[in-house]
Amino acid sequence: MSPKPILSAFRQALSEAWAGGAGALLPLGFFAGAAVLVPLGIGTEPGMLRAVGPGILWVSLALSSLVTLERIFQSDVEDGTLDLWLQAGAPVSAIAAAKTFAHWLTAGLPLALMSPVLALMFQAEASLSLLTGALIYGLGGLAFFFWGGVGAALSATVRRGGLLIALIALPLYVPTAIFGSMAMRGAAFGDTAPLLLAASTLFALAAAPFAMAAALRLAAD
Amino acid sequence: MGMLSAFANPHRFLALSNWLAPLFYGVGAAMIAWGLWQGLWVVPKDDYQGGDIMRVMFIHVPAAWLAMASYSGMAAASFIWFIWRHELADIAAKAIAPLGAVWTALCLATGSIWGKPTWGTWWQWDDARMMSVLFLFFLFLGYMALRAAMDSRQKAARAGAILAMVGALNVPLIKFSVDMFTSLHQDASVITVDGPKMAAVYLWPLMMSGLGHMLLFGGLVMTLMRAEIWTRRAARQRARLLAGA
Amino acid sequence: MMELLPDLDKNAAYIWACYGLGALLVGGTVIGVVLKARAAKAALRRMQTGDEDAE
Repeated sequence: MSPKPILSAFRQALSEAWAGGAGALLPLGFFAGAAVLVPLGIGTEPGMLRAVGPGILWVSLALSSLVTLERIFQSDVEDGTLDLWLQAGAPVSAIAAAKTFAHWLTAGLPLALMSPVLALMFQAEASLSLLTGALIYGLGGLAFFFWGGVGAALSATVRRGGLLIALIALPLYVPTAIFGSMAMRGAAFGDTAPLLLAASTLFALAAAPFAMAAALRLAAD
Repeated sequence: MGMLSAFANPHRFLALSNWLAPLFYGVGAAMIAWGLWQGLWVVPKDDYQGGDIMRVMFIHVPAAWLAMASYSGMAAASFIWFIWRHELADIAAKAIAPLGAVWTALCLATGSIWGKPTWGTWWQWDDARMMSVLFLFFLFLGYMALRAAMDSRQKAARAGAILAMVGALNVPLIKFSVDMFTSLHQDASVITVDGPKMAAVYLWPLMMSGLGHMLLFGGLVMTLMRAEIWTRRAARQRARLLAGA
Repeated sequence: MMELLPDLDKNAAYIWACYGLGALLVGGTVIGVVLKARAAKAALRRMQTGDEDAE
């Protein structure tokens, strides 16, 4: 199978995600906005903010992945691109994975890169661990996007499927959220938590594309 | 084998469930009643497990068993439907979902009520079992919402099957991660409901209640499947009438 | 009458709440499921006798 349809789907998804929503600004704005609301809600006591900060960032990351994924496959179903892939015998699972990866690049990775800034606003100490934190958010975000992609593919034919995606994907986010926040806290588990996070992300990368492909075949019927 | 083939054929399923479902209701109710009587009146309280409150176990633990068994059953039926496209397997998966959600909710609610006098709180985030069951409940809700959102039976069946299988694939990981999460701040005084410490006097009423709930659940699944078969037949009949008119 | 009820000391309220809730949920589900099956069967009957106005 030639890699051509995969690459073109990847490029198209990248440009769509980039142009369609003011580039990376939209998810970044959402991420920052959601995180910034929290101190307004719970108060600004520094010790408390330091304690809840990493958790808030995980929640914001999960939410922004859900928001950006709502339309990832819907346009392919509506404009017939999906039918073309299927007729051409293109590897749908690889295409779905490429598109999801493109969305993570434009919406997930920028959030991870910005996490040190938000962490500082949440009173974290400026240190190298903020950078490892960004790595952990990036890794966890990848799993969020792939499981969210399964929800998006399953509800590709459902109008206003955003809430449905959230309900489907949230239980699948649990391991990532747990391993991720454990990795952020570091000390208690040493190296185990980041490794578990990496393993569960790999599991998502391996399993989710097939589920997305099965769901997209269904959407095309 | 005879049983299995009967479950693959709607006609034979209707004939079989016509008497099997009422039998399950009757025997299940009798077993639950016996278990309750034993559990509430006969067996002594266990001071080691917080006194009389452990009598809640005779409804909480069967509900927990059913929560897990019903999700496995739903995933297995989905798998069978996905591979062999037996219509009855999809009908079974569709029937199990709302019933499984009810018993899962019952498990959560009784666990929460049990927790209040035991832990001093209605909701213990550090209890791995409660957290796992909560996520199981969300998986059921998502499954039902997805099926309801699809515009045709065939699509609902396929989407539901994919989601149930994805969920089943994730359940071990969810459980493992939740165990890990809660072991961070493990409480030494966790009640060991199921474990070698359980005295034999409690085992029998618990087993009977559990089996009774399973039979009752099985009867309900059959009745809901019968309802679905009739509904689908009526829809086919309507389509035929419309085509003929 | 009272001596028929088991003696459940200080946690009686919690225990009865659990079993009451169980009876409510399970009983309600049984009734709902049986009613649903009846309605489905009646609808099929009406359809088979060709009497569509009955709906």
